[in-house]
Amino acid sequence: MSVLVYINAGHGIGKNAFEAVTYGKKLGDVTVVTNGNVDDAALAKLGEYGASKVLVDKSLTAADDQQLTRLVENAANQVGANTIVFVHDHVAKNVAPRLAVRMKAGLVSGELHCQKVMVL
Amino acid sequence: MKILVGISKSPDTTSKIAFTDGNTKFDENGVQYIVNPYDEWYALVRALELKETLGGSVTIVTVGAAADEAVIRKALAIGADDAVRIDADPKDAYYTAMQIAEYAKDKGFDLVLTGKETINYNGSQVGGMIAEALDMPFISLACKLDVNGTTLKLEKEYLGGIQEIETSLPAVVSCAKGMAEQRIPNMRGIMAARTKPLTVVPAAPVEELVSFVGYTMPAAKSAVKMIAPDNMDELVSLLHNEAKVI
Repeated sequence: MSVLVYINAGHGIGKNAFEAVTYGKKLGDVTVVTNGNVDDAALAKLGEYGASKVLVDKSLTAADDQQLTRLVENAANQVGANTIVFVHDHVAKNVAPRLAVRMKAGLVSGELHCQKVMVL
Repeated sequence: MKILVGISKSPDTTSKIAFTDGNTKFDENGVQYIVNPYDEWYALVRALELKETLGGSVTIVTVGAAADEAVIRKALAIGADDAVRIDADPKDAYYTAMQIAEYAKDKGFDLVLTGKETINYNGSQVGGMIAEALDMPFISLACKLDVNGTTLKLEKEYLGGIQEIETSLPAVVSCAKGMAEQRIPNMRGIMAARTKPLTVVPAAPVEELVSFVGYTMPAAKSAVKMIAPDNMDELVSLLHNEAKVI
């Protein structure tokens, strides 16, 4: 199964991101998508937690949720993801519901096995 | 200014929670329902404040059955002008949001307010879904909202500080603590609520994307263990081996 994990790297890549990737890895083959001016070494570390590929749009630095929604949707279509995982943070609360409508995908928030995750 | 406020019902916080039908359905026997506090205290009250300063109207919308009209009347008693009940069971967040969006899409609302989440599902999904369906900006968890012409100025808590946001109307905002102060309906409001318009509209054909297959009660809490103050060894052992916090 192809799994896409969105990481909000605006303040660096932290523990929540690693947890989301670890959770995604339990579901299938993980591609991470993120945006902004993220350090390549930090992105490479996601591989230690199970990411097979990382997609990053370095030109998208604004936190506009409509732009982020398009980014994740395009990435999901590109990798053929049938599950999309978000860290349960303020960005996900804006983006995941929009994405659910655009992709007509069910949205589960606060998934218990990894309590800080929203799953699309 | 034409404002739409999403209202949902939630079980009163003193309700005894139980499930029925093989733990696949919430047992409503004996449950008292209230207006979801985030919808009532923050979204609805802020809408009324905006109407009082800028003029216009406040309409409340609920996806629910006829039995929910008592809860809708409570919201009308606080001061909304009229109410719409979309005659459907709110199956999941997507279904609920699409019903509201389908109703609102041609009504010319300037602002759609919801509570940040319901106290029974804590999903924080409906506001964002409505915004996408209506192709409007969405600001979640706002604790302050002001209108200046067609510009919205909002604040939300963000990483221990405050984030200031501006956007244009029309927009969807989910409201959090700090947005407004709770209002208690007075006798005049309660009496007026009985005759305010409550329109029932049929549900639109919307698919259900998430189904709830079952519910599980949380594990019962164990009794408190009292440790003598001179028995630190046992305390450390319990914290390490049982509680696993050290």
